[in-house]
Amino acid sequence: MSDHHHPSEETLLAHASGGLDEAHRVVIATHLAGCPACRQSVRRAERLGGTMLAALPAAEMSKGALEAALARLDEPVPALPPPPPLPAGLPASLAAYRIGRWRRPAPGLGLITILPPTAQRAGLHLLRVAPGMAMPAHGHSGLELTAVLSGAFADDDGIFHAGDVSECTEDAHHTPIAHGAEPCICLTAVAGRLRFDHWLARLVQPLFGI
Amino acid sequence: MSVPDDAITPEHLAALLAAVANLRSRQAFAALFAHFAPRVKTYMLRLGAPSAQAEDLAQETMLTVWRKAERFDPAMAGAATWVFTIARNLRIDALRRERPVASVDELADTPADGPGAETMLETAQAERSLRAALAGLPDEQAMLLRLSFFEDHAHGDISRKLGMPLGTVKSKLRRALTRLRAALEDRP
Repeated sequence: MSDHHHPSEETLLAHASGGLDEAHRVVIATHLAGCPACRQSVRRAERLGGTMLAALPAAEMSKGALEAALARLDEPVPALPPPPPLPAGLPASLAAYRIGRWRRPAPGLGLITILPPTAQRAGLHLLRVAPGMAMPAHGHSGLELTAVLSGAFADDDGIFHAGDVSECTEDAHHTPIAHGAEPCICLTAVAGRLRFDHWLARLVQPLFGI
Repeated sequence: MSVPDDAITPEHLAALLAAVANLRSRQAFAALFAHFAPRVKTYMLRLGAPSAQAEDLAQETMLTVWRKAERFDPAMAGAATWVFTIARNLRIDALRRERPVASVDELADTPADGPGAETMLETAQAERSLRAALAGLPDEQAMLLRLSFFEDHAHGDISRKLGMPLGTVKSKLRRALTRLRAALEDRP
């Protein structure tokens, strides 16, 4: 059990505070669905948030705010449209998103971009890497969080199996390799620009966004 | 509502929520509103919402409290913690780039985790001891926690704002969490 890879305490705190980028939040939610220990950490951090909320000074509400709220109590609850069907094998954390088709930016590499990155926001991608194949060696200028959905990959930090999360901070540099006999499918959120080292990988880069 | 605000204990707030859930008591709702709505508005203002939006989000938070009160599980969270998660999720939804198909709240990572380890009283006491533990934190650690919950709150932004290396921000936050751990443990 102890060699499982979990998000850091700071990242779980950021998740509980609502401070994570949407893409990072989805990756953490994917992990939380299968990890009672991290759910516990998040609940502790939420309790911290609640305690701090209760200690905040009161802002002045506009006149009649309470009466307006009371008048709305019996309003019907707005119904949300049902989410589109989720392709098999994908986690419930992706239920709110439209998932496109796999693209093949390079042999052995599949890519679905769920949230394209912008200058302000991290991108969210599904990656499928053929057995034994290396992901292009890359560095990043922002936080990278990756949850393994199936298969496994290995990098300098060890072997990451389904349910594990790899957390790479700014300035990290790594070369993940799909591990084992089946393809490795993972959900990855990257803030900042991916910097691929290899010239071939640089050709792939535009497909990841900016 | 003639109760002075400081006198509202975590136990009292949990009891008010129970009255909303079980009796659909508008009076209990009004008392909860008086306590939480102005604080949720402060929370939204500190996170950069304009005044009108902060007020709207505080209203929405309280309406959600009314609608979902029966989902409140006093063994899992104190009243303030539950209201905090509702406010946080509504703010996230409001900030979303694309209209969500489902709200963050609907997709919340809340599979039931076995029988509640705590009674309502124990949960309320945990919030109380956490309050004391927070007051005892070194100023800098308390400030970093406040920034992560109530200001720009991305750790990278905090690092830039304070001119403190990101690694230092993270390690100080981790130290604060470790210090609070005793108070945060579900079983003291």
